[in-house]
Amino acid sequence: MANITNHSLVADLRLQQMISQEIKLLITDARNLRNTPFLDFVGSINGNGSDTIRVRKAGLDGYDSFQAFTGASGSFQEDTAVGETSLTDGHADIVVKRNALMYKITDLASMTGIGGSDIDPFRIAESISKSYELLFAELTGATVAGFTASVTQAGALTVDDFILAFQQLELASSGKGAPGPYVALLHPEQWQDLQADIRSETNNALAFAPASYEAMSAKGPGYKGSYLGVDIYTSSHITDSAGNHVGALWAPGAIGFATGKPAALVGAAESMDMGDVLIEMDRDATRALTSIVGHCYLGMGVVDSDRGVKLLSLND
Amino acid sequence: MNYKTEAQPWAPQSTHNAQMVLPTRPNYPMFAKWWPANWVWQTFEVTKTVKGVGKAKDKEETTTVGVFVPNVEFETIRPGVNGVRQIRGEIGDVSNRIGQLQREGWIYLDPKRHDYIRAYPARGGQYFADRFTDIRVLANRMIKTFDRNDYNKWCVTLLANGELGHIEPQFWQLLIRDFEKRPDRLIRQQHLPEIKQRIDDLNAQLVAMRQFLNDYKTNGIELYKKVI
Repeated sequence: MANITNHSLVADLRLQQMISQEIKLLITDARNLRNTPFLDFVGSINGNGSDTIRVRKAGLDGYDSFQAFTGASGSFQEDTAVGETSLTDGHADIVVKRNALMYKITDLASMTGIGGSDIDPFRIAESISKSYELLFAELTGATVAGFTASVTQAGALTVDDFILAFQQLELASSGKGAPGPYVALLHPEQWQDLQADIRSETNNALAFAPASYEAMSAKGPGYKGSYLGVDIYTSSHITDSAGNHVGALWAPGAIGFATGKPAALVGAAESMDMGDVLIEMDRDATRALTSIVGHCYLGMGVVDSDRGVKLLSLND
Repeated sequence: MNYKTEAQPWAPQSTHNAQMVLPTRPNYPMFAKWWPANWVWQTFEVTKTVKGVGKAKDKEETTTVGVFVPNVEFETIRPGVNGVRQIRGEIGDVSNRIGQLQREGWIYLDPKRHDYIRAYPARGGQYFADRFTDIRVLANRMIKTFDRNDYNKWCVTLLANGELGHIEPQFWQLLIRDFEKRPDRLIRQQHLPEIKQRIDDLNAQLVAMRQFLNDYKTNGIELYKKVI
């Protein structure tokens, strides 16, 4: 008589493998600065007559000094009429764009799921709503490449470069300086290089304050710590340019974002309002197929280039 | 015909076409721009032939020459970012953005004239890269190698051909002033041989930068022609 082994039971009485109840998540990088003072919400395009919000800028409240009466050859007198000063103004356009993400799932795939947290149209809808955070991170990474000033290092990022970028912000706009606090958004490789250089730093005045558990809870998983009073975050969505990572340092008011949202989805059989994302279910009965479509409307841009500086370093 | 060598319906599908597609998602095209204050110090290996004296053969001598290179950047054209409007799918209308940059003083480099973009087929679209990036696929991973020397030469050629307009050496002066602070930070550790070496290297670069600034005042743009 043969012994009853697991091997002998497979196919009839035992399974070759049993799928886990829990679905482990693959690594994502959706961390972003949405709920920080470093990204300004400039408004919604709903009912505005355009897909673009023009952010108006003006030199007020201490921008212009009182006129000095120092005309040529001392011609200005006590009773000389003052000349008018032209107002300095400008604008930045934030264009809102449609963004979409769709998955399709068959009824059979849905019904064979185990329990409530398995892959089904509702779990997919939840996932789409979280991809909005990823979009935010991507747009922020692309937007910072639009700053004008830059500090470029043809090698790994060093403390010197970081200080130089910091000083550029302090000297921004002909020495007026961008009001802080400052934030740095670096590619993880830039952060590694900076961290390595900070390790060899002996000057106590330049101490690095690593992210504590409490700080990370408050500021999110991308928060790495503070250096020279600059909050440092990392993002893999930092773009590349000419073999360099394009990270950045900036102050509040440098970057703005605008959104839009359909007030109602006319003709939608079933829709879900998930924050800034609208999810719609579409049904193809002849194929037993459900489409889960998410839409959001978002745009981001540099509002004031004087308040930011790019930090470029080698992408190995 | 030898039917054994023909692909049968049950045979594995040829992966030939799949290999032609980069194992990555599509990205966005880009354009090149330059801000006249953005420079970076780069070194070039310059080889010249030294005539042999008498019966001696000619010799090739390689020297390292440092110059300030305009830091030409590539900006992604992504609809919804920095004023780029969506016109067709993920294709953006960049005219607004270029106009804004030119108003601010940026120099825009048209890809049609300067040929710096390459497009490769990717999963579900196209993958754009600059022409200085060599892309290979190994173990289903995309390996990118940036040819910095080629890129630097392109930037210098643009400068020498007058495509980037007038050069303002004042910006180099500012970069030198910033660079002067770098060796100072290491002074306290100069007793360590490797730190001393770094200080020496930084000081040597500082000397070369100052020399370049002086030479430019005498020779002008001709100074760049030896590295092209």
